[in-house]
Amino acid sequence: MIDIDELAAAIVGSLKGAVQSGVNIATSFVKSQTNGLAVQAALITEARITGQITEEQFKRFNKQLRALTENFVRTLAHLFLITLQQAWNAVVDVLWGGINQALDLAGFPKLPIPSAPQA
Amino acid sequence: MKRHLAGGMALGLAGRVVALFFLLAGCSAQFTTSYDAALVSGLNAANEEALVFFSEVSVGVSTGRFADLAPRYDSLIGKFEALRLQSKARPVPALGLQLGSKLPGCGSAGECLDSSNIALDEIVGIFEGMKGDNRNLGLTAAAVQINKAGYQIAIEQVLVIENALRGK
Repeated sequence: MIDIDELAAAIVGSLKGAVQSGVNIATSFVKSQTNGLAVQAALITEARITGQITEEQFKRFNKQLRALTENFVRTLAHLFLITLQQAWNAVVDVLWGGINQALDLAGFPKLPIPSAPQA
Repeated sequence: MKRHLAGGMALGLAGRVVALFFLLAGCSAQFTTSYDAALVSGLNAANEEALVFFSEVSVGVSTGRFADLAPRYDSLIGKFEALRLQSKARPVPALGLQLGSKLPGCGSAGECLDSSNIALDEIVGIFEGMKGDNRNLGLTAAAVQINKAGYQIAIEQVLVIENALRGK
């Protein structure tokens, strides 16, 4: 028998866990990166003003800073996809666990979790 | 009141549920690359080497020290380039690229899935830049600090992804 209420609660619990974990990682990552990028911008400007770096270095470091900022955004999007994948698979695991438990109790063989077709 | 499905009807109903799941795409999915323990081990080792190096040159280095330091730059450049190639060699699921192309910030071709490779490329660039500067004009303490700060931003972008992948 499938207890729908219990299964639904297990799904929500699993989903919350996967999403919360992803949100925690992303939040601390955002804080660390935005702070790091701001400090980097200040260091570069200060070093140019005080003559600690050349004009060429100043341009190169700024170019690097732009590239790192763009990649920060990409990394955040990448993290989101990982969280989505983990949340999705957590739900699938719970659902198939529920189905297979019911089939097992009814004396039927368990079904393997199917994989999404490769697009 | 709990809701139950009668055991005798399990197959018929399970069959319908299975069909529903295929409709809802209730299949396990892979959108991203897989966790690579060997890559993470390599990253941790290279990161340690980099931080030791930054510490040693933190007060700045003259052109006179270049001959001694050249092998250190080469070791770091070589290691991070190898890690970049190792990371890039991991297959990216087409499903992930398709999803990514629809996600703001990911890029129209799902480039966000390349974020670790791009960060590692920046790291190689940082050490190549340092090597050139050390050889040509020396590095002030401020220049070393800027390079180190840039390195730390980039390596964090790589490590956060690898740690997240391990979580699955």
